[in-house]
Amino acid sequence: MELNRSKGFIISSSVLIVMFIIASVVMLGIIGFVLFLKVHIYNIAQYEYSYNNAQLALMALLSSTYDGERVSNLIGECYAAGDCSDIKQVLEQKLEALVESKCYKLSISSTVLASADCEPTQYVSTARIALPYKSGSSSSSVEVLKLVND
Amino acid sequence: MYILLGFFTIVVIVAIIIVLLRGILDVRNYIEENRLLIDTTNLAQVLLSSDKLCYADESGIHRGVFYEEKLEAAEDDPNVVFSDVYNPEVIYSLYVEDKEDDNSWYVSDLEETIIEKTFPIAIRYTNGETHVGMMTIKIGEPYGIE
Repeated sequence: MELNRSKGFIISSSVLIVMFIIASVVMLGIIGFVLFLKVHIYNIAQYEYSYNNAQLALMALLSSTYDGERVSNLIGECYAAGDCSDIKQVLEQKLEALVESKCYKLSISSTVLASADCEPTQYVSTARIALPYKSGSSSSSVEVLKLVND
Repeated sequence: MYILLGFFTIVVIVAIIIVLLRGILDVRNYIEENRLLIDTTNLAQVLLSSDKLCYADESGIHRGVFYEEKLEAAEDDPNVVFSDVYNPEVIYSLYVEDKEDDNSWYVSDLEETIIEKTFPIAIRYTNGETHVGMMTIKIGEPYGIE
């Protein structure tokens, strides 16, 4: 009789412990899933906004003018000439105003035209820049301008 | 012991239901908050292509390039923009700032806002100069009324 009672007690205690573990796992699972969903939703909305802004920043930069000349033309001309140091400051001033994070890098191929003191990696936007005609050539070439910002 | 086991089972089931319901409500609110950001981004996209604000020539509308004259007209009469870019669920205002100069334009202004976001733009002046700038969109109550 005594043996049966202690057996029953052990079985009940074991069931209770197993249920407690299952309940904890289920609750942790629900909380984890909710957190995952929240992070996922935030990332989608924030990424769309920031990526959109990266593209707008590049578009605004190229549409703007300096000394009566479109910046897109200035970049094409200086890149073809192999020296963009003259407009580096202008580009940096404009990008400083356009990029909220203040962390950006503007480049064509491996040539960095303007950059801040950081290494941006998150949002990449590109635009094609027409280079001026070279003497003796019947066609102009196009290079891809890349803006990376955080 | 069996009474305790039954009681514990009920407590566990109720606790799981509460956690689940709270989680669902939490995510629902979160989706609503982020919908606001997506709605603002979409509204900005439409404004950036609106012929009531953007510079246009024979080649068409210059997306993302606001024109000084149109900004002044919109500042004088915000309905020029609001009647063109309109969403019955959203009340918004617009602030455009030249980042290379001290110029700015208010197309209406909301006192109480629920979200405020900025977007890079270019501003073309009547003399042909184009500066970089920022457009700030403020969304106010009542938002999302169906």
